[in-house]
Amino acid sequence: MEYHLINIYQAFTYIITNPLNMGVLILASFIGLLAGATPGITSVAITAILLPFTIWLPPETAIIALVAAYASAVFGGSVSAVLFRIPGSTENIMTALDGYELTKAGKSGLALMLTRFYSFLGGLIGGIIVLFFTPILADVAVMFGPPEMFALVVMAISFLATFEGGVKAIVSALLGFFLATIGSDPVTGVYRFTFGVTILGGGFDLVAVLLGIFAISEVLRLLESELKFEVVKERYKFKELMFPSKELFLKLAPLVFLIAVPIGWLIGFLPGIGATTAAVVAYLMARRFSKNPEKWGTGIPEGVAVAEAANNAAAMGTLVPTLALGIPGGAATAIVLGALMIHGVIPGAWIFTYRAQLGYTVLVGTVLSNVMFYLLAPVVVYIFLRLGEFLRRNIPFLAVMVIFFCVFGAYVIRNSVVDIVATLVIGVIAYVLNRYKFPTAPMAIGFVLGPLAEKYFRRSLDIAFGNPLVFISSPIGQFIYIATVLSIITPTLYARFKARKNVKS
Amino acid sequence: MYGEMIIFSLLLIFSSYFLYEALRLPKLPWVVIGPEVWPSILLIGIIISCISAIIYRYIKKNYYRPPKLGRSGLSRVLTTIVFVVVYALVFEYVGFFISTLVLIPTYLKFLRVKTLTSLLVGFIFAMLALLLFPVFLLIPLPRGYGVFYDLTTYILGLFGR
Repeated sequence: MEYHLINIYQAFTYIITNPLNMGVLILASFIGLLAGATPGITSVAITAILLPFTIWLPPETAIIALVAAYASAVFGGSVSAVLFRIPGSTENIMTALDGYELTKAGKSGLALMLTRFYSFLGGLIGGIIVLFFTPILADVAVMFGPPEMFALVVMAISFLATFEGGVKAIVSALLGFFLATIGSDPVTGVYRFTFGVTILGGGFDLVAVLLGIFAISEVLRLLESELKFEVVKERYKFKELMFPSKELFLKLAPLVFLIAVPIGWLIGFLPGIGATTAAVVAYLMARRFSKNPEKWGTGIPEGVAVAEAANNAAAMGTLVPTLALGIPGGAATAIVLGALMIHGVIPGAWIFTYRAQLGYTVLVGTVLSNVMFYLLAPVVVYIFLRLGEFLRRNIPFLAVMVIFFCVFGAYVIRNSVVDIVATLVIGVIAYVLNRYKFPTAPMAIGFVLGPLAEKYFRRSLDIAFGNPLVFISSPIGQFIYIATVLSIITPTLYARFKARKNVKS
Repeated sequence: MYGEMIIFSLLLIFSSYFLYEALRLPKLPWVVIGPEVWPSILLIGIIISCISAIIYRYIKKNYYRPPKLGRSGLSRVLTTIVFVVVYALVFEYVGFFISTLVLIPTYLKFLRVKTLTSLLVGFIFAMLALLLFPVFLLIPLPRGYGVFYDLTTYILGLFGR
């Protein structure tokens, strides 16, 4: 432990006393914030864009730049999710649900304060866990094989049952799962439902689908009604935009500290899953255990805080398998892994022994990047807050802005017009479904979880030569299934018990 | 027939057709679970859900009716869809700069924004696209064909790209 602490201290002083490291940290955080807040430029895209610029930097500084840009972009994405219902990055998908509803209720300042504070908190706690436990936890990550991963996905799917709408929510979720099957089969490579369109071999891109479900459908809904909106200018004291009130903090604390951060981080640190799924699962789980799940998605602070704390904790968690095992936790960490290799560093547990300065500098830089975006965020938040107010007063400009970013955001994914068309078609479908009270959030969640569910379901059965007992053969899998069943039963039993008690009293 | 029933019926037809397509996917003897299994499970789930929803609503006469869409609202929605379709169609042929410069003011004009403001907004978005993607982020965008290509290349050249 002493060795560990000394290394952390040395890495900390190395970063803050080195002007190059600090300069790069500030610049990368600012670029990440701006890029994340700009709809259409995802956290993965900005990390990839910055990669060539980091080649001439020393390896420690290069990785700090990429991690800082990624962490800031994950937060930045929440700004456009809250103000325009366009998740800036796929990790902000759940933030858009409650954040945008808060904006519609004239509380965008509150929503943005929550995203900023809980992104910072989630990232900071996640980063500190990474800092102290990466060498130890790396061994745990490899204990999760396909059956255990499938159990986790089943757990997440079971939480979808909490969505209002009954059969409509089920149909919406199944549609999302089905949309994810379009394209090349992950096991055999057979093209499914592509109808000869070559680019669909890669399936629908997540960004295109999210832009359609959230952004295009919302623009069409806005254009249905009159184009003049009465928007009250929001006024806040400085303190209100910096921290939540004590009461609000205490109210949100159990969901954030007991569910969002641990679940987000844990799923983030499992190889190959990524922060988007982590945010989805943590949100669904927190909703499941909330006292009033029916209010989630209608604009409550809990939804924003949980989603943001989880996605930033997960973003930090994805670094564990990347650094300690050389297995990227998500797309952005795959780029970080690439950067390590460009600099001639082979990831593995030895990175914390033989190249301790590099390993610990990266970890400390990760924690500092969270502090940095927290300090820099007010500038970006203020600009976008005022822009959002102006656009909500002028719906035609808002519509043009959203369509502009949807068209360009969808196009730049694969340089294909097919993605623009896919965004529009999915957007129109989501709009029509929304009109008939089909909740579309389950569709987006289904699309995120679908590929994982299929991949791990089939891999598990392949490994066991078709024996379905493989799903419950490992202790981890059994534990997850029992936890799933309990999580379904407990709230119902508790509600009945409470109702009974009320009747008696 | 109510809109809700039409949606469920359309989903039923859609999923039945895709189930038929899924069952026609090649069967590979060396894999335990073929490529058709997972989509088939999902599509059967949609079919069962839709049939049960249709029967339930038919028996209970319990339909949801959304608020009526006014004529002007409907025309705005349809125009927006047409606008995005046209944008997508001309994007590669005309190039990102000119298509943005021309289409955005046209669309804004339809939404009854003043001509001068529309033109100004179109120019701002065209410049934003130009500066953000190809200039700062080095993300290539289509320049169009023929004269459009020359024009976009000339404009990009002014910014050193």
